[in-house]
Amino acid sequence: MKAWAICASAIVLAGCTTTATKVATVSFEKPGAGSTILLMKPDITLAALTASGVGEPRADWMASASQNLSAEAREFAQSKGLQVKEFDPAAAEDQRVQQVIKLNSAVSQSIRMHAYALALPSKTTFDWTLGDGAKSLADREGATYALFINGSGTYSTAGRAMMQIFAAAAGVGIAGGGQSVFVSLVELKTGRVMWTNAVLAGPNDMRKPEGADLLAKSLFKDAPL
Amino acid sequence: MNKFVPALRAGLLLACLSVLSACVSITAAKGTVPLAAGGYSIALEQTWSDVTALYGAQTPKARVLTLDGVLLDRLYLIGGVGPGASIVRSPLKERPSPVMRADLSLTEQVEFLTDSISALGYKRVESTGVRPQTFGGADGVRVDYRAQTAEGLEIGGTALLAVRAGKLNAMVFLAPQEYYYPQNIEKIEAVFRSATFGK
Amino acid sequence: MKRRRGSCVLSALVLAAATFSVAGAEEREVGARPAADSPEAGLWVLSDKAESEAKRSAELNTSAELREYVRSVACKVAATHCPEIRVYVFDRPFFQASMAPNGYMEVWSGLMLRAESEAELAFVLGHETGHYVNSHSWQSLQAVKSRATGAMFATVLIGVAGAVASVNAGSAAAANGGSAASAVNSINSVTSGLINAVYLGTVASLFSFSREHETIADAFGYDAAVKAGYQPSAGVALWQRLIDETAASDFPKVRNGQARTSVFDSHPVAADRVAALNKLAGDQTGGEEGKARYRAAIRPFLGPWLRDDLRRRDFGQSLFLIDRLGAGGEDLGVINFYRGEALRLRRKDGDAAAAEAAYREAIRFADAPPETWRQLADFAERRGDHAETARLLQTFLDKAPNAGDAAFARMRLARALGAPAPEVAPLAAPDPVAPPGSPVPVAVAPSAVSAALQADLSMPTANGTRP
Repeated sequence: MKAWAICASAIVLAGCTTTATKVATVSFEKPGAGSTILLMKPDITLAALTASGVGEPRADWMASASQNLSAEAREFAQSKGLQVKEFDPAAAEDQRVQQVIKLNSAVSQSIRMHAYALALPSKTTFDWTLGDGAKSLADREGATYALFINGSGTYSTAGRAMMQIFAAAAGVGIAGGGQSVFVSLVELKTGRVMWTNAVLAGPNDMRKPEGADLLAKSLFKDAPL
Repeated sequence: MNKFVPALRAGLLLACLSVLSACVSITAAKGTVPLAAGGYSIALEQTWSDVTALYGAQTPKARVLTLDGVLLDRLYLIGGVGPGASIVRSPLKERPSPVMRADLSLTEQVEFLTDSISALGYKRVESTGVRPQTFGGADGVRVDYRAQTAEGLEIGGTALLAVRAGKLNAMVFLAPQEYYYPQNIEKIEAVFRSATFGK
Repeated sequence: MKRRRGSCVLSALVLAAATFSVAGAEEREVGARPAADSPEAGLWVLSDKAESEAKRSAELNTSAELREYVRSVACKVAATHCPEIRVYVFDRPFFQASMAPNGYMEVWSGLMLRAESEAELAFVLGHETGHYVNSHSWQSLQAVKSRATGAMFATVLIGVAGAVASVNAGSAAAANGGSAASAVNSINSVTSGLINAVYLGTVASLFSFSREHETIADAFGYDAAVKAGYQPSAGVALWQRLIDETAASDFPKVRNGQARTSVFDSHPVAADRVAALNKLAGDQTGGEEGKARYRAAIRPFLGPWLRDDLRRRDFGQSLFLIDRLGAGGEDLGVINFYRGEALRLRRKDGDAAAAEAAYREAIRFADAPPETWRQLADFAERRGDHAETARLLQTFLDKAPNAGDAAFARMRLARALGAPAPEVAPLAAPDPVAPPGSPVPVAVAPSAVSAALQADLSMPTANGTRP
């Protein structure tokens, strides 16, 4: 989730997107009740946007947001009758699994760039895959699907809000805070990305359980589970 | 830290918007695809995306094609790199890119290409399997590559290069080893075979 | 190792920050961690993230022995803080070491190659520990925050980022190598300055230290190294050599700038820093140097690290470094090979002959890499000396039968063995499609060579066998 993801987020923020959910055009099986879904630890980076423009990373916000979204994902999956297994990509030991996870990051970035913004003439359907490496994850963890959650953004401080007014008066545009979340569902036995959703948090504050709950409703809406 | 610097992000947002609003278009590439005037052309059996408008600034003498996005597969079609020119543009005089010379030995030609791939930003680039192969009827060199992205994603690559009338031409394919390189290598062999020098 | 764009603004800013009160800042306690809701915890968690990404970075040097060696030296100077430190060595050809607020320490190969003794390494690691112990990154962040308007910061931070990113090895685009981000970044100079702190692995990089911070860290490094029993003059020697290397650069801008002790420093190694260290050291003699131990630790990496250094394409500096590395009379096979490589790549008048001489010198020593013979074969081939070409290629293949270009070398060997006597003058680049079977003399132009290769693949070698 590097500079690239910011660009893609920026594209989303700027409203250049069409629909926010994308579903694979290939038919797939919904996971049956009792099958296991791997909930990847949400990768959330949040900062306080101060008046001077410096973003101050906030550990507590990141921890809460990650925890809240994780809990929401768990609740949602369980409501669909699935077994849930949590997985921390940073702790993955197996070389192949590490490569698959890195590939997923590249695939997600590509989806955000091309499925959501600049379409590729070579890709007219929503058909993205991690390849057969995902099977190794399925086998090791005994899971059918994997859910990846990525979020980033900032929350303005009061000082920042003042600065925006001042700058606007001076004719300089300064961005305010905003947070976006991207979620993708991967069918591990084929490696196919079955479904993605890109959401602007808006008024829903993922740092708080209630906010995360409301955000989760938009996030997991239409998830084919 | 760049995630936390909204000022940078604002700049990036503006940049992204200007790129988008300038109607940067990704065009389709299929069938016979000519390179620059006097250069070579290739034949593509399926539709590729020509993303040169989006990503080409780094490699002014190349067309950049992709199927799934440049993070997942990319084909550089490089042509007409004469003495004194580089494949990769370096923004800084004090950090120069590798430069083509008139009298490079074959080993040095391969080295020039390998170093240029490093200059694109790939890490731990290694060339293997250096062997002769024709490039549009001209005698060329085929090289395979191993590399990594900065994050450690393993990359596979293969290239065909030939110097013709003192200028270097090269076709370079790079993709993650995980799925994307093996998935597309056959197509690339066909593309390499299809190259023809015009006039 | 130079900063661009915005460096003036940043220097002004950071100089201003130097007046920010450091008084009242205490040394951190051993084992201290910030409270979870404190702003400092944010820097900490970012450092944690940087560390977990570093573990998977393509450029991480994976040698456990090297890592343990560097960690042991860091431990000696960090004293009571030793248990907090985790060391990561990166294969990056720039002089850089840094320590994040969470104890994550990075040392780059460019530094390892330029230090000449354990004492010098100890001083630098002590210097970095000084920043850590005095929470300089946190202070820098505060200082930067408390200044000026948002717009100014945008320029400043983009400038810093641009400068920082542009420093990274051979990459035209941002630090995020090989990804679409770097490709997109090249379109717009604003975005090309974006850095990835996780890639650079250190939070401190974005917040250059003030002149005052650097002085404090120098003094701390000096004290820590001397207390650990190291030679007092080590720091001076290292900083001075950096100044000399900067002066040897191919690029006027670098030569006219000043040496820097970190690619992210806004503060150069000015005469006053060297003088201050000289004053501290005084006439003291004694203390450990650890030269032999240090060279033994980095010996396995001399070749790969020099290869990386050449990629910077500042041959004046590379040759300066190579001369220093060879001054002790050890590892002359490897060192002369890379001298040859630097001269071959530089291509100034007389460099080709000097390169060949360097390769010839290298093969007198047992540690000359197999490629030395292959490079000499290129020279012999250019001269049309087939017998010598064949002999050299055979030696190369004997030493490296599985080299990446071994198959290619075998082809060239076959051709050299089977080639007819050379014509007088080298050909200009001929029509690329040479009729098969026609005798093609050895020529300088590469396309002629490849034409010959194609023609001769169908011909048996002189003695009728295939190599």
